[in-house]
Amino acid sequence: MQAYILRRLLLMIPTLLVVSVVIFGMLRLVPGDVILALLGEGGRLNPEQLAAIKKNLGLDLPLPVQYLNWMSHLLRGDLGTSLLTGQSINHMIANFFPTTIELVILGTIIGTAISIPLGVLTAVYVDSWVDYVGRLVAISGISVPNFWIATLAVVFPAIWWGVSPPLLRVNFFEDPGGHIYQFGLPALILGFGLAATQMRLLRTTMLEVLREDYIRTARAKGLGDRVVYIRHAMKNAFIPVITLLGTQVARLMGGTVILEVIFSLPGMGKMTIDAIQLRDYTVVQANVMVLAIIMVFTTLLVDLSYGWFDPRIRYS
Amino acid sequence: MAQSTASTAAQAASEQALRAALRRRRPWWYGIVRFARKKPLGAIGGLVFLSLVTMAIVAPLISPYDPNEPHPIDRLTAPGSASRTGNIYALGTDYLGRDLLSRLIYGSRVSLYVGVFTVLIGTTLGSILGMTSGYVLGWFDLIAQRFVDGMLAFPGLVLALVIVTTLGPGLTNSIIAITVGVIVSESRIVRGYTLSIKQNMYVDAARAVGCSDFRIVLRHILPNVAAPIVILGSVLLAGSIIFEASLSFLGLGTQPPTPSWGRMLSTEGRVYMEAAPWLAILPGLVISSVVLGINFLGDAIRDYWDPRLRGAQ
Repeated sequence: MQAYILRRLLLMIPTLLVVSVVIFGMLRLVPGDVILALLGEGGRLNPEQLAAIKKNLGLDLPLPVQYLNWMSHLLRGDLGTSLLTGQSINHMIANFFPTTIELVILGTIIGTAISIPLGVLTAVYVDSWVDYVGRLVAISGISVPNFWIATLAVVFPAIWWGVSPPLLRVNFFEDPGGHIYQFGLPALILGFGLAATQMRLLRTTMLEVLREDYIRTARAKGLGDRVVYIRHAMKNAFIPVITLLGTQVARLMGGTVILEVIFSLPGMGKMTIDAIQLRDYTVVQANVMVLAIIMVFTTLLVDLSYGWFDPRIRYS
Repeated sequence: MAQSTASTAAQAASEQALRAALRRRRPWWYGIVRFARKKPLGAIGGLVFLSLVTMAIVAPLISPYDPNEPHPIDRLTAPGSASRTGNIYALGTDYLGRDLLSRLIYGSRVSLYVGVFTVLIGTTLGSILGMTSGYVLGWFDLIAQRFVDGMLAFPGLVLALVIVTTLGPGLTNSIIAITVGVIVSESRIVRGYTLSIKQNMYVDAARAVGCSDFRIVLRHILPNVAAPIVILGSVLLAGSIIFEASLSFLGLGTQPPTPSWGRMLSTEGRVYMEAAPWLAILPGLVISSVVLGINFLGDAIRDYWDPRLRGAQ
């Protein structure tokens, strides 16, 4: 197990290196001069002024040097400054990150609460109306675009009741109802998408486990359905589901992008979209790097927890 | 003696009957009908996909109006109602007076183009990378999989956003962005299958008789990986259509005036929803129906080809 953990930790390093090179390289490939695109004043700046701005921003150095400078700052926890506002990106992310993480956590809780009973019920009552309804709900969850549901959820209440989500983040302790309204709907939409994927996998794993010999033995011993399903079947069926949950949660970080835009939630997703539209490339670079690091660490934790949940992995 | 002659004759007759039955060719549609009877939802999904393809191909013939032609006097006309100029628009018009039905029909071209292109190219390149990585192993596999790990570390939409930011918004760049995601997902899965198929004895036997690595991959590994690739392709097709719609919704995908379902939801649907709710409802319904149909088809194909489920059936 220790060798497994060490191997996974070592494999993380090249992965993060690739991520950093891809992000850095891609944003340096943006066509046209970043300064000109940023300032939009190419015709009114003389070459000396342009050169001074580039030197100030470190853009006159060779690309490998720029990359090493950026990495050295990154390793010290310094994500740089916004090209537009000059504000520290660390400070910006500190303001926006809680919104995104709250949305992801709420979405995960809602998604898990929906997927577990639905997945178990559709497996237990396989090929019945419960199974068909459950599968229809699940496949709808992965087919219907969440941005469509979110759009309808924002606009119809505005039309019918004159109610719309607040534009600024509502603090829970100041206005619990307003906070729940602001986060509840996007979290529900996010959670529903997660539940759909989880439920399909849980149904498949439950069906496989229910076909196993030890389940037949448990029934032959005279154990009731509830004991068989909960104590024997679910525990084993959950192992792949939990590993999927870990990677799905990491992907939810990217899934919040559209919902934050539609619900005007001040999160990292909206921050990234705004930065793309305003061509604030240092912010885009930093945000994507932070999201990718979170994803890599979450995948690592999931891989390590897989060894803890499944003793066969631990003792292999 | 007479008994043995009779039994020999009966045996010969049954063998002849068997050969005749094997020689009898089934019609080309037999497999399709069999699939439809066993998987009616999958058949419905297949019909939906065929409708999408047909709609995209014959769009100029079935669209009542030019999708980009504005009729300013008829702007925001409700579906089915007569406009100010007396024209009838089956699904209404948008804020520029463009016929929504025509734009939805032409929008199918974008979705189909993106979906099929990304799946074909992404699946092909991803499978080649995955099979090579899984078969060759060594340094190639180590480097290739670290690259794949790195790309998979990006949340899906975020990777597409970064690529589109670099290359610029537009249909072609959206295809590139989505295809990169398909390649890395596909290569990881195909590599897994290749690793397990490589363990089979028939691969060792092929190597023992002197088959080249290329021949082994082509003749022994690829046919066994084909089924999961096809199944994954249907999942990726649905995902690609949603991805393109998402990028267009954010204004980074298909650019105007090309009709795109996602963009119709964003710029027209959200802004004018109070005055014209059909602008937000109808494009979303169309996207959902198409993706639902493709998912039904993909699920049915997977269940149909799963040997464990086939035995139970």
